[in-house]
Amino acid sequence: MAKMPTPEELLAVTPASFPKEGWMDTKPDFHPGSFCYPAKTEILKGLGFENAHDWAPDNEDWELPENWEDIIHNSLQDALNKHRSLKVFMDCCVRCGACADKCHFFIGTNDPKNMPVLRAELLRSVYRKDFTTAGRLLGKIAGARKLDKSIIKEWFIYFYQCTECRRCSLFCPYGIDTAEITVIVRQMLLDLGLGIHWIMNSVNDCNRTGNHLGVQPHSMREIVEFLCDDIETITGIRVDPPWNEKGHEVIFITPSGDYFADPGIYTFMGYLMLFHEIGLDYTLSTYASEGGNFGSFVSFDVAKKLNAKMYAEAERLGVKWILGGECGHMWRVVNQYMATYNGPTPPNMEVPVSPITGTVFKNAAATKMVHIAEFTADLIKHNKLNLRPERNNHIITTWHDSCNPARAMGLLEEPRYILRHVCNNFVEMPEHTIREETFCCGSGSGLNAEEIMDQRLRGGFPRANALRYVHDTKGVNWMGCVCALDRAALPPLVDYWVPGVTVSGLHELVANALVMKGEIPRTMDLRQEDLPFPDEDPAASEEA
Amino acid sequence: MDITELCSNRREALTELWVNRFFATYPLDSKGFMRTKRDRFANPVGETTRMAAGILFDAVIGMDADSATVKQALHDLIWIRAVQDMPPSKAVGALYLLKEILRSEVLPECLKPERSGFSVLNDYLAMESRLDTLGLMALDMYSEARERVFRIRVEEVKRSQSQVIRLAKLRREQAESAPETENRGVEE
Repeated sequence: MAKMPTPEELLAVTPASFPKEGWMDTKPDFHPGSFCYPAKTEILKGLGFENAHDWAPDNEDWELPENWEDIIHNSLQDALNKHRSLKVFMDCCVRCGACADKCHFFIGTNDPKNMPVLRAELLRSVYRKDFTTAGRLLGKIAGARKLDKSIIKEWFIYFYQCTECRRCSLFCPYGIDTAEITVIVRQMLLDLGLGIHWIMNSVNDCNRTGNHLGVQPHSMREIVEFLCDDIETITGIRVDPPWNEKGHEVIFITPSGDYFADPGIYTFMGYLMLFHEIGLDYTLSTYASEGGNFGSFVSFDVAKKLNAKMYAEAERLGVKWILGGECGHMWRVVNQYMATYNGPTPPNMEVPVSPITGTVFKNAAATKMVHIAEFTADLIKHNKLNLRPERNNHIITTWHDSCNPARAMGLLEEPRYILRHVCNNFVEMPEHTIREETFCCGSGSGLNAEEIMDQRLRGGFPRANALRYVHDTKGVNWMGCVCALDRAALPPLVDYWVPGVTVSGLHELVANALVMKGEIPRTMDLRQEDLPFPDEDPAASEEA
Repeated sequence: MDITELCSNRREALTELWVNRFFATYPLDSKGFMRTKRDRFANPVGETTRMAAGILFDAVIGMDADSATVKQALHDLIWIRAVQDMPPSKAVGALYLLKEILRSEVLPECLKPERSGFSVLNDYLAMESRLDTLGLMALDMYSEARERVFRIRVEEVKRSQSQVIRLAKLRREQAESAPETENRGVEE
């Protein structure tokens, strides 16, 4: 009889199970679920990536162009010339390990190559070999390795396991920005014709129609009219947002997920109700129909192109400033890159001033773009909204700080201020999991592809684990956030790890509590579910 | 001294051995972090594993254990391992690594001649059977977790297209309720 392995042998867990080889020689494993589907060749070609070709991640041969080594070398050389930051990031890391256990992917997968220091080392080792004297002369001893095809595969696996959330950067004493390293490596991979479908298809749609979902102008308007029908059902008020109209004070730009996908649509309804109630002089645009920027996940050049429509449309329509919706990475692009990409702002634009309160948003003097949480918090602060938070009394909510608004623009207090005014029950998750130290949803930077759901669930586990704690101990049944990717990615995460918690945007809760002039007594929330604490019906109380 | 007492006297050492076996199913470079970072929010996989191992150990050795607590602990452990890119045998089978520990650490004690008159060996076997029960429960939980993942994937697609589906339904309703127009055929 053949020898049966013992359970220990089967599970390969002998007490001293030292790996057979070091990290440099450990090859990545490709199997369905471990990688995103590749971008379509015609899409990459259409976007100008000349080495686009048919390939499959689980094939041994990725059919790289013949001169692939030169392409990578030149691409890295270009990046080093263009970004002094990259050169610093490559040279200054002292491997102190402060970042090592801060990445949600490392915490959730326990794969050492998900330690940010090691993820960066995947590129740094090649950089050393090609661009430093010590690396050229001493090779492995100096932490250098020669580029080979397996390294390209390794990059593809691990740089698409970084959500560019920048939690590691917060803990790095040098401030090494892993997100920038990730974008640059993804750009280098694109130069070889290697991209992922979920991102590049969205980029292509955005390039063509203005939004990631490829919604054309008439469909966008039709969908928003649906949402206006819903608002009328709930409030008895017909909201009629202006479209592509010149001469308004403000243009409102938000991610397309807000008007296209559940539960973002409820947040979008919240925006419309708020603007109607305060009489904001604004317009929507079917051209600037996307606040998000999937290009920013893979390439600075593509990001710049997709971002350009914001100022272009602001100029065409002659608005004074831009009000931006609840999005995550959109705000990193706005705060950190937009001025460089497409600034200065068009001459018709001015430093934003709230037409309702007169507050000057000096923080937005450069970009002329105000986050809606800042705008609404200011309205509440000046007592301009009639709010009835009791309508949300069945909700015990917590707040998920979306990575980019929290870490790239410091938007920490405004959402909490709003939340405390529209909900009577607000509970924080444990410290070190919120505010600047917030844990990512696990699906950011274009990794919310359905085919890698397992990866997303384990990457989002640290977030879900903190949520689970307040769910179990404080009865939290709701989690608010200001990011469209969060609104897409957190529902599955919660469904797996903490069933019984609903995910929503901030302005869904605002609009639930907002008492609009002339509205009918509210009996249902924005999801058209019965309110456990409905408004009193004046007719009924008169009869009584 | 019965088997429960025998094991509970050495609870800390035995659960530590078991926890380390669980950690050994992860890459060596991560083991140190999993073992030493004692913060349930900074090291949720490590700490959930540790917490579950303690509760499950008590259940295996025959301590009075609340069945809901045991189930929850097993659920927490298995649902993590079910999405950690390991084969089912590794996700669930790590439970059985306790057997090897018990056989090397506890069984020799049970086989000592001075214990031969007692039912300690039967108790030992009953203890292993309880571990087998946990293994079977874990199998159910593992498959439930995987089914949940598949369902979540389908629901995500629906959610992401909710307004298109709504639009399509409306179009169909409009088409169905529209009066038939004459002379639509091509035969004429």
